[in-house]
Amino acid sequence: MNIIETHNLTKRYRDFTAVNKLNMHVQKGQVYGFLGPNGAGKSTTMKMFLGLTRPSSGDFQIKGLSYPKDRREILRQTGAFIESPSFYGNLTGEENLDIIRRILGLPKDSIKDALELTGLYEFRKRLASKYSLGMKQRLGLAEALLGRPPLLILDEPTNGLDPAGIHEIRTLIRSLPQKYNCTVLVSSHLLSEIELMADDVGILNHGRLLFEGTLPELREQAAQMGYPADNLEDTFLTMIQEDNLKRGGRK
Amino acid sequence: MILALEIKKIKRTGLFPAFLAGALAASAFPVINMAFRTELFTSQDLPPADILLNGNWDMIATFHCFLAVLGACILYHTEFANRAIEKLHMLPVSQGKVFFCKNLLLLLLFLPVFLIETCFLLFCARHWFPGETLGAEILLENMGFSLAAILPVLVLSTLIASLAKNMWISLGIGVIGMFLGQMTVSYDTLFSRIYTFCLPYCCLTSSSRPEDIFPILGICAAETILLGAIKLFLIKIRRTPV
Repeated sequence: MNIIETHNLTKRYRDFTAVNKLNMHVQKGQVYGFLGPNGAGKSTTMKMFLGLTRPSSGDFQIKGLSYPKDRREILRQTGAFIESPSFYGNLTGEENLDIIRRILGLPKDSIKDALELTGLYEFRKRLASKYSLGMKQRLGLAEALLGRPPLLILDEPTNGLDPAGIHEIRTLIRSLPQKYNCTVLVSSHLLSEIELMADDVGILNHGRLLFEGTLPELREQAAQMGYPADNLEDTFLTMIQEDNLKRGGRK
Repeated sequence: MILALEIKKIKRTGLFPAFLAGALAASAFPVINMAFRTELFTSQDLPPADILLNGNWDMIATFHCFLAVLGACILYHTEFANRAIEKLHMLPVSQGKVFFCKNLLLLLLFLPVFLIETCFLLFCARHWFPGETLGAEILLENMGFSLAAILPVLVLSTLIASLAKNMWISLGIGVIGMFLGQMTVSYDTLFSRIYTFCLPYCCLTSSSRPEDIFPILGICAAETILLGAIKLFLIKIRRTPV
């Protein structure tokens, strides 16, 4: 069963097409890695799912709910972290989560749960503005995880984290579907990262979906097309370069 | 619920101290004015409340306008500073409600400001006009009237602050608007009668007639509704925070 489905989803900004007739399918209970170079349209797609930007054409459904009719319900069931953490610098980590908890009508213990999950519990009384970059990133993740929503949309969640932090967050994301029965859509421009946590992969370039499927399917397709298949990083880069060439761009 | 959240959000922003300082500064003005120009005021053949309001209200109103602009800037600066507003847009909360609750919060903050000022005006009346009727009733009526007159200023300031990510832009626009009001308020023109930042300069004295007061209240109500409708329209057409 697909938790997210898009149908020719397109976003145009005057003469620039950020997302072009995207048809993606995110299965329930899976970690879906949304992969693409910078400016491929990953964040724009995620923003459309959250109603932060309107699609120019096409549509999408999340848990059978459609936008814009069910936007509120979509937001209620989705935890999101887009681009970089958003918080009130004048409030502590705990107070920041309490604002979101009240809006979502969640029980008080959900704050402790999210703080513990992201390793921020001991820093809960510290002002968010005094947090380090990694801690701010974790706070953003805690905000998304608050109340254990059935769908998590995470846009490059490991940015700014040290290697230990990256590993920790990656492990956490990997464990979420089993632990909390949720679905994760996570974006990155690093295949090596996605490879370690995703079940399914969607590769986006210049707003177009070049590939969608499991990692073994990606390897299979790469072999069929004559791309290097033993190293997925090379597969990804070759796929992007080939697409750029087809589009008349530079290699 | 949203109002409670808005109150929570202003923790450590300096909004309360700013309003308290503003209230004390505005309240101190009539005391200083009376202390230095006692003869000028006590020689007038008018009720004490009228003398005090006529002599000090312009400066007090300037403080009110500045507090409204400052308050709106602080409220939205906390939203924009660390992109908190973007998180708010990803939550099932009405942006219109958030906007109106911010205005309600500012209006509630103005209540103690007006109360402190009224107390100081009463002190002046009692101290410099002994034996005369204090005019507490007219000062309280003026307080209610001022609350209505500050409302469109609050909505306009909050609207401007909600549209500019950079607090200095909204503060600059607000201050320019405020000085434009201060410059034009003394002229009897249509502009000075309807310009939002001129409205708080109107005060209620014992000589005010209903035919003077009701049109001002009507203008206040109309501008508040119009500015609120503009914000709702902008929310509808602009999905992203800025």
